[in-house]
Amino acid sequence: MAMQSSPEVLNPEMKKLLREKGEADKEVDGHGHDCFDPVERIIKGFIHFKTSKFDKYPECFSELAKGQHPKFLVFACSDSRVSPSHVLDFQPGEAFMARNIANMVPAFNQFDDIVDFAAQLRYSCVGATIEYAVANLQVENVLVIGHSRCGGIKRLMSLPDDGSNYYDFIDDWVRIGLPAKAKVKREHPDLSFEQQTALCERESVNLSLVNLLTYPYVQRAVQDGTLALRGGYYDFVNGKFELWELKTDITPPIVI
Amino acid sequence: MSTASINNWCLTSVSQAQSSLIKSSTLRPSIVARLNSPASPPSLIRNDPVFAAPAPIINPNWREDMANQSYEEAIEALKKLLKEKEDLKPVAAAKVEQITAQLQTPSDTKAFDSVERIKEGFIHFKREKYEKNPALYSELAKGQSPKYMVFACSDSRVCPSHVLDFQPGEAFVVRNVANIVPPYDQTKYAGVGAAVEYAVLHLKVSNIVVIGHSACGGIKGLMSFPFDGNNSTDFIEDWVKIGIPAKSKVLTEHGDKPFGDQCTYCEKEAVNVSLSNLLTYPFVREGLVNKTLALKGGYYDFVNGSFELWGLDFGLSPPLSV
Repeated sequence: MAMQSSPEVLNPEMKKLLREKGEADKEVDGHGHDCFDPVERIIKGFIHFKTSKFDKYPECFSELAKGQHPKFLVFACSDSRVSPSHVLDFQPGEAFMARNIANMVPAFNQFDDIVDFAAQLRYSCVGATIEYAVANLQVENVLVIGHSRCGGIKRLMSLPDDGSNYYDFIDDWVRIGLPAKAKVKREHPDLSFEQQTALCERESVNLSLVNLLTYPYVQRAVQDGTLALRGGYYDFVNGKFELWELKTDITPPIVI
Repeated sequence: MSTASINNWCLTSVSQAQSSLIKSSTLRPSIVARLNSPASPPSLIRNDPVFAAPAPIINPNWREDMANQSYEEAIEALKKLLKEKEDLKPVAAAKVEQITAQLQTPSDTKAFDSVERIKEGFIHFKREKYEKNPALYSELAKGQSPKYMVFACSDSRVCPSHVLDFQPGEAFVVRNVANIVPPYDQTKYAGVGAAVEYAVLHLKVSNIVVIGHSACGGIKGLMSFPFDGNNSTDFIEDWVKIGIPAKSKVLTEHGDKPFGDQCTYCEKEAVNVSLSNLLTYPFVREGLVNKTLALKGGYYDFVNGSFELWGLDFGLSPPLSV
């Protein structure tokens, strides 16, 4: 029933590739680039974690081994400079995390428009993360963090208006943010491209927050007052962090 | 073959007895305090300056865990008073109402705590890292050139910034449920596709590492769901079913093992399926052939404190050699 090819099917391809790679593999895996050894780096990294954290706080990690109860679901960009474990000092167990290009949250249940096949669910990757965090783990906060000089948002702002794609995936993915781009262009037509892009980095966070509300479990938890939706913006050029909240208060009725 | 070049490597935990020696109340780290009760002040432990917060909306001493009980007690006491002194009724009723109203605004209290936590976290980062290493951060402000692309699970316990000590600028990271890389599919999996495309074509990373982990909820789901067409979730089944080839393999090879063991096998086997799926991306294949890219699998066992690392050919049948 799986639609994917099994590893067995792919194995000949892998073998072929490995044969093509041949002897030179050693250089790729071990010492391909100057003196940087990627395996050594991983080993060192884990040993550091193990000695300075894991072995040092056995109580904490044995508690965590039993289960996780994070208070936050965090969306952050895949960008190597913005890990929330650094920027917000999140410790193991504190934040369930989704990281993708430009920290995008698409709206609930979008299907492709191909008529011939049964409708295929798009974006189940993000959907599964939200469903698991909100419905199963019952996090109390969803925090979407944008950042300065985001390559994904830059691409969104540069997309040609004719809808054509240059990349196989990137263009299609960042298109989730089109409403944010349209808003920035409409409200700030006179600003430079860089200024518009910086505004869009924040505006797309707002779009993600609004999109979050389209998920039934998010809706329910927000209505019950057990979940807060927050936006954040990490400016790594100036070392600043902005934080805001999406409020969904209903005002008292006016009797006319 | 590449087998020789890949340093299969495993680090196991120090003995339990040794670990337990370290455990003492005086050594309680900030992480312990944070994890168990985020409302408690980690500033005492970390010796950080307390953030100059705006005036709190609600009494900051109000703590979630104790609140319900204490308010209930207060209400009970007032009700008792009410019975004893009939003439105090209006006053006490007003008091009960006031307390009940306060009781019904727990979200504001949570909001206060969460905002504090975020502020505190950023201030710690800024003081301890950002301002201490201006050379690095001004370099990073110009651009990123990470060597790694890393796939890790969304699980709150497995962030690669901790587990592999990746520093800012080192790793382009995708995190999703069960660290799954789907096969090339422009319609269904644009999110992961975009990340792989960006990392390989634009950033030119030299390594893609897919890291699985122990006690993974997503893999447990994969092993438990019947996948008979009647989905019980909106997304989770649709997402983890990408790992069905791993599940089939584990059921074939370890069908007689207990469920927990099967899940552990599947946590590792699913990493191999992801590595296979990476080969369906033309730019990944190209990188491998050109020897500018290497694929690696990893497994972080947070129960025993071990990490396994293996290369692309892990799990393959022995090569056909003459």
